[in-house]
Amino acid sequence: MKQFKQYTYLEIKRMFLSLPKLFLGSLFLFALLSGFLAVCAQGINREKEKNTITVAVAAAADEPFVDWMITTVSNMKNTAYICSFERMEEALAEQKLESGEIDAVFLIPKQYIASIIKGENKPVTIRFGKSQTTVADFLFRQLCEAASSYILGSEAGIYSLQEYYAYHNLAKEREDELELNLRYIKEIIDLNQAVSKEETAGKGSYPLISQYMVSGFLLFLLFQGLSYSKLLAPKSRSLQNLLTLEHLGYGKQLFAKETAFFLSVLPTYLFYFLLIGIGMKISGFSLPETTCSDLNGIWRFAVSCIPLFITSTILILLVYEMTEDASSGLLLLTFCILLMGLCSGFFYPLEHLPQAVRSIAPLLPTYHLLQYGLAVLHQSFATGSFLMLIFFSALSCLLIIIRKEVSHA
Amino acid sequence: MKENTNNSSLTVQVEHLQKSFRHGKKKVLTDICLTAQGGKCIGILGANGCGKSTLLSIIAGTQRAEQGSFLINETEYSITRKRKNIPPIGYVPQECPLIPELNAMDNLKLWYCNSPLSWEAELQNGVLAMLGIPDFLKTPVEKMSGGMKKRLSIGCAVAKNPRLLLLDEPGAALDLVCKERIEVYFRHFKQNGNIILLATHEEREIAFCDELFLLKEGILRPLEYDGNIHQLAGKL
Repeated sequence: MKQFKQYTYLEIKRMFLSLPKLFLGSLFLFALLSGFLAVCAQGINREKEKNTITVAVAAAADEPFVDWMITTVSNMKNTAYICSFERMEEALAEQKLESGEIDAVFLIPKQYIASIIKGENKPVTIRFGKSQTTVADFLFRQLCEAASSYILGSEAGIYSLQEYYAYHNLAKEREDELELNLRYIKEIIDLNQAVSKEETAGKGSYPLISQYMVSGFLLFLLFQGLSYSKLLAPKSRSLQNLLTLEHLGYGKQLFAKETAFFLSVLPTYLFYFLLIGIGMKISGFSLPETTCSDLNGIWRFAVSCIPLFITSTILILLVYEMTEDASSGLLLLTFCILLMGLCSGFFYPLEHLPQAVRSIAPLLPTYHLLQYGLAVLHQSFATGSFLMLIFFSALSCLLIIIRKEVSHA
Repeated sequence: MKENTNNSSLTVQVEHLQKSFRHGKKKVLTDICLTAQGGKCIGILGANGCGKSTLLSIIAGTQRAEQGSFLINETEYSITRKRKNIPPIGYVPQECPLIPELNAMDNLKLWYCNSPLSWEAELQNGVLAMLGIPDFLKTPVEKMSGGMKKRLSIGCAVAKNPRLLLLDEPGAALDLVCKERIEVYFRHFKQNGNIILLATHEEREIAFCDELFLLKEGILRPLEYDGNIHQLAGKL
């Protein structure tokens, strides 16, 4: 036991002697990955802008309820992402439609609300611009058809009421009719939704920004291994064999090495989150509705990601132990991270990858690292992925010990 | 200096040791028999790749043989399975068994923490002082010369105060001064009734040995050496 403690202490000392150099390497890696994230975020914003439909609403200046309708529809969560509405004169709207500055125009006829009340069937015209093939454009056209059916139904209700009054020859028909129609329209306007909406939290349903944040974090953890190539490469076989004679078997040696590696990366890990916190405070950026919505949340996320941290260090150790020296370990680690990361959804969402890749993803430890990280970020807990992380950690340790036993036999 | 100084009681025997690799396809050691008495230095000679290092590592316990027995003072210890309660054996392999990023003191602490000897006392006037280790105590291993590393390896190997010392080509790539220093220590070790078993190609070390054996085609045979190194090379 004394010798095990002494050996563990020496492994830790060995790692910490190189800490200044490793810290600089981590800072460089952090800068690189921050740049990568910034580029991805810009890409997402550009995608969002490209997919937004700009709709002009052309109506007479004195037409009632138009501004209210524009404000209501603009603030609806679903349309806010794909549509932006702007009220303008019909002539200007036509001009912009032709030039491609806007994608569609709602042409509200003069005295439209009054025409509904009177029973005239003036339709609202929706004029589209040049053909677009984005998903957002398709959704918008579907939305317009649904809205059209809804309006027709409402008009049917109003006309039925008018016929009833005429049929029963009711007194004060005009005043009551106007009063009732206005109440009916107000009821329709005050309705929040005709169809209840539910969301199921399916797999791969996390926002892209969250996926890139967690992927960036995992790449940072895994690529730490590149800085540690000389320290993690297998030591002299003679030393390992002599230690086994002192009852420090390969399992204990592995435990000491992993403890030293974990403790030496921990300062960098904490510093990474400190930088994130400072960045958030300065820029005002946050991820709402996630664990990282505030500064305290950042540290909660850091603590919750300790299993990711431990599994990453064990996987890095496994890669180095499978090779003979530092250079081969470095190459193999880079290759493994990039390939497994690609197949796990680090760089492209898994849904966009071929079926063959999606079917093997759950067999990779990097897939479960990502899923666990995303769940923690969204204030949840992926039990399945957590158990798989434990499984892969144990399997890696076993493989390392078997490899040593076989190669030293 | 605490040392084992019983001059007559130590006997080491290896009997019918066999070892092969690749599931028996390559036979390295065939029926190796060897007896060594206390106070002697036994030299094992052979061409490169003949199995000298394998033999030493099996005796040390870092590798296992397929068959055979190993006795110290007529008490048998396994060489085919993991050993228990074996008296300490010092083993200095060919490859440097030191932690390169740490200095001499840290490496010594690793091996002396469970030792009956105190590394501080040994540095003052013990085996470590004899090997000249205080001169480079704070030097990181990766910055040491070959001679320093070898002396430090020997210093670590004798931490448990062994009576049997196994050395795999201890003088390789060392300068004359260093070889002289190590030889002084070996002489002292032998004089205390202990046994040295060393695999070597060095003429000086061959001359130092009390008995010589030639390992050829997996068999160990006694060898007579009259000082004619050219004739000896022919026998290899």
